[in-house]
Amino acid sequence: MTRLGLAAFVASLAGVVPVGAQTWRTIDASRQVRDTNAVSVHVDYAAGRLDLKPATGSVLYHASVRYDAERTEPVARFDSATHVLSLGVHLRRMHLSNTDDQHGAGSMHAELSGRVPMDLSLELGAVEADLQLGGLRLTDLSLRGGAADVTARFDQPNREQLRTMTLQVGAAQVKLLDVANSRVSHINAEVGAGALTIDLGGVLSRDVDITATLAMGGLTLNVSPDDGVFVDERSFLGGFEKDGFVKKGDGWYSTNYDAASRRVRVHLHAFMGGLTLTRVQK
Amino acid sequence: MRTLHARAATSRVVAAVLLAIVAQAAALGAQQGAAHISADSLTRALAALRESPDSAWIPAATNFTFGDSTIAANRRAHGPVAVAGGTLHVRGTIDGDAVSYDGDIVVHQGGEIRGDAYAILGKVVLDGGVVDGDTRSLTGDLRQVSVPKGGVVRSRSSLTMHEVALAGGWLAVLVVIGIGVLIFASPNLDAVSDALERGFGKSVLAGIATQLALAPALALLCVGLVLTILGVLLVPFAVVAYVLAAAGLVTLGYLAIARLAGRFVLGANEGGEGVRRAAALRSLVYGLLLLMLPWFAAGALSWSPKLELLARMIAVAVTWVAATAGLGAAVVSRGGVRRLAAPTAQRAMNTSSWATPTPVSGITAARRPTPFTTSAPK
Repeated sequence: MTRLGLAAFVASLAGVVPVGAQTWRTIDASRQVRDTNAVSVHVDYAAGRLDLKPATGSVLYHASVRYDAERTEPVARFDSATHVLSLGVHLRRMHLSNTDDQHGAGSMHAELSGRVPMDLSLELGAVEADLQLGGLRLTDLSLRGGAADVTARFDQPNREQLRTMTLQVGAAQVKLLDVANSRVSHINAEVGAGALTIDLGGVLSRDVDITATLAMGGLTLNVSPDDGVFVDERSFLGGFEKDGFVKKGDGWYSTNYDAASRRVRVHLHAFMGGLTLTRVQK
Repeated sequence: MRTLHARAATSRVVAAVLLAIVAQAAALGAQQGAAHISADSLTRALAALRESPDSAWIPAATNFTFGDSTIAANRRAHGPVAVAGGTLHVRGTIDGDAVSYDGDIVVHQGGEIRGDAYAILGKVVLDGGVVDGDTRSLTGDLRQVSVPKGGVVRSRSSLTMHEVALAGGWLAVLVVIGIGVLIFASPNLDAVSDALERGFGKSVLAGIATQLALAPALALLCVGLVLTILGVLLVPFAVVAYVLAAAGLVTLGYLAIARLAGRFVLGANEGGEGVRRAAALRSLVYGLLLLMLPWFAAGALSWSPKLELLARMIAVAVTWVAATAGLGAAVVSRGGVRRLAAPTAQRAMNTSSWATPTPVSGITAARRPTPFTTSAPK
């Protein structure tokens, strides 16, 4: 009887205590390509799962966003006057409940045209992201990850010269694979307390300069055994393993640096973070 | 063998009957879906959607036509063209946007929409036609938000209640912190209150100076720690401790000014320790209520954006002055550790009434009393 009363009491409580309401909606947005003028694309995604890949067909973009209307608001807007495309999901208001659990977070599947040159900036919060950037016409790339788990890959060559790649990693885990395919010449990386992996796999057609500022986070750089590597190190408590490097004047040179056809120059500013250099044969 | 055939035949019949039932139910559902849309329900649904900036342009429910609609070939219609509970067939040109609610937008060969195409609870189908702007289709749990039990999505009254409840929540939090301070740090609170009483203007100035110095002091602290090499490891802890200390001082000062305000309203209480404590708590609660009053007013006026803005500006100003003066008093009194004499005692010290004047001619030394004996009566 006591148990029955207790159960009834708990059941009544369950009825009284409001459960966080969720209102799931899906918006599909797209736009057809009208011209090949350059476009600025801003993807701002607060929480959830994000997939991005090149579009098939003649669309400038296609985005399918599943979101909880109670707490988030989707953004899919192209300003034809300024040629700015904004995609993503903004948090409507802060919730005490966990937003990054599987049931609480939404998802976005986005596709971008491979016909139009674009500078792409991504600002990701608590997001699990898979970005297939190969095959696009990227001129600039900026990626900012707060607490995200991001894998970005260039499986196919970028169809433009990527002028700069700016990576800002807070407490995120960011992996960039086959970055040589992006045809990048300069990478600017800032790592707070997260981990950044740059895999310079693919076809490296030119020398690459990497400026890395590491606070407490780590940078892992995967290069080919044939690539010559130079590291200009300014570190305090951090640094990198110098096996296979020779100190010459202003920095550390890999033994094959002079003979290498492709060179990677790293300008390292490390406070407590470290650079790990690995040679990967592909 | 015959049994097997009979079973198979029975299964086929049952499957056919189930299929028929499902098909009929689906058809009935589709009919009901189109039939149940009324002007009122459409108004409510659109009001909910317009909360999003992207959907603010959707035309009013009165501009919707109900049922299927067609823009004929070689015909030009001015947008927005809005349809509810039916399909919009576009064979001609729409100069502007096209919207459908609970229906599709089909752009046929030769058809063109020169704005956006937005299908709510439907889809946009490009059947050889062109949409110059964005195409969007919204599906999912739309009606739960747009038509809740109360019938209104987020009315002004509920918004007002939300704002007032928010202010009430802050008040409750401050009262709880205040009770904690009264129990565990009452002397510190008294000292900060005394500092405020002695010089409100001085406290405000000290508070402003402290606010200006907070960031540079933190930077200096970090630089100092970094220079000591080993201290660099303490930087994160020092920053956290610094922020906590600053927040603690602001809170202590704010509570002190609240108690002072409450005492001003209620008047001073004399009596024993118990009475004094009860009076302190009462003063604190009344004072906090007084300081939070502008926030309650701002919440209550949220139905009028202009009045709400005015009330919020007043609330921010009152809170800033209170927090600044409180912070200044907390700093002047070293967080309530440095307790100066009470104002009344200080005034008494400033007068010479307590001193005994010494005559110019001096004072004759008193004779040292010596013990004497009295003879017993004989």
